[in-house]
Amino acid sequence: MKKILMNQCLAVAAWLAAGSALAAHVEAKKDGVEVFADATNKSAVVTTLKAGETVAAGERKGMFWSVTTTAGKAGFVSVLVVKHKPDADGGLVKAINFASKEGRAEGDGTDARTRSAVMGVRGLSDDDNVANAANIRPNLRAVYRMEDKPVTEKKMEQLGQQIFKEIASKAAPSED
Amino acid sequence: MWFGPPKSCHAWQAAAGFSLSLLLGGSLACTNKAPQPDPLEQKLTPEQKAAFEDYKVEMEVGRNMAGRLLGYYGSIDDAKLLGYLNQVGSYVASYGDYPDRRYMFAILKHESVNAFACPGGYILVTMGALRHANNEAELAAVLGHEVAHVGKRHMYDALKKMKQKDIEEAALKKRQATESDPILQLRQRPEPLDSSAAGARLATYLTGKAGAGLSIMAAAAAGMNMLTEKGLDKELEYEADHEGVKYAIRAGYEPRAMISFLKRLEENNAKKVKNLEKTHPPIKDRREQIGKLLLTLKAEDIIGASGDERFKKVKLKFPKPEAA
Repeated sequence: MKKILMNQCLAVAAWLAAGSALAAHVEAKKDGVEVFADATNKSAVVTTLKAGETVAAGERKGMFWSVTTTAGKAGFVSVLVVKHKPDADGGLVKAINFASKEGRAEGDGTDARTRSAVMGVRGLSDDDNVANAANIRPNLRAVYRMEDKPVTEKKMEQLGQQIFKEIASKAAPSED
Repeated sequence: MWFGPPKSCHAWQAAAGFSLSLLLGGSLACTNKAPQPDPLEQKLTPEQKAAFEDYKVEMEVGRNMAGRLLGYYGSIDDAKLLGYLNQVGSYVASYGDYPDRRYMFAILKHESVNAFACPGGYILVTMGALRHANNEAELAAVLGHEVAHVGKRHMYDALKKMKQKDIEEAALKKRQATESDPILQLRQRPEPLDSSAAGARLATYLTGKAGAGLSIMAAAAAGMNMLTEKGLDKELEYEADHEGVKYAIRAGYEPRAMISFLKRLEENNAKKVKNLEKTHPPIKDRREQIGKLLLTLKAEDIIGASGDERFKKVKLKFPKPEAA
């Protein structure tokens, strides 16, 4: 039994130590995406990427992502010609989403809802002490509403497109 | 169901210390009856399962903390505004280092400028903080800061390091703090046996003892103390600033957005940041630290989006501030 306990603790500790930080990838939006030696388009071209080709991405540097190709070549690609893709652990994501439904209090928080509806929500001035929040009955219904509003991939992609469109329009006048 | 209640527990486990981390470890060993995993869990690798089990505890603590903040302040329930906040927050989080976590965002009905990151991914932003933002880039930077706290498990790890005695003392302190206020007494959270059934069930599973719901509840109360009074270690706040700014930059936003948000706070709104400064390093120091990071990221070369147009449209629909 002690051995099982130890193994479980070690597994959790290992996961925590790793911090579960994940790498990310970028995908070329078109053929011939240039991978530069440095974070400037005036540096040498190390290689080019085909449309849809994916490479590991590191940190941003100026208007470039640092990348490493599958062949192990390091370089930089412009943020405007690739699509950034996080490497989320799909299995874990699904399990976590499932868990948020499963772990709910019995009665779906209705009791908490009823109580707060009866008492109302007191208006608070800037002088109120937020520390008092620690002794308040949790409004689980409000928490469940948070859990029930997942943002779709499509919504995030739409926002990303708008953001990079704005960047492209700002960058265009200064490009030679 | 996640699990069934244990039938017995070894004495050595019951006496094996009460830090949250040991409660977690002990729980996994002291159950005679194996939990019934859901189909999704069955597909997980052992490492994923270990991470998932820990996440469930973290989520329960965070749920409880978020619920208290929402219960105290009340929430803004405008569906479009919430949709926008969640869209921006989730988008920034997708550029973070922990995209497999879940991040959920809500708005607290209060005009101070503050935001709270509870374990498990529950991020609460005050209406005052939304109003204080000048554009979407500033909002994204603030959300990035909170996402970093969650992703890096700053608070949850701090709670796990606390001994059970400290956790209970912190919970007691919180209880005493409201004894003199009759309104707060009426709204006070219930005793553990009357509280979150899920929390009690989870804690029962963890400790192998019926009625051990106090552990999760007390951990949440201690977390509240940290969130609203004591604050996290200032190095963790600087780290969240750094990471949050990095996530927002990766996502395409203007690099200096967080600095402008903080600078305006410092200049104009001393009264509104009273609670913020209680738990965070001085704003001037934070700005300086972020400035140093921007140099290393070649931020002067970065053309970022401000999201002005989108933010202006959303801002038009902000609810009117309540009269003080």
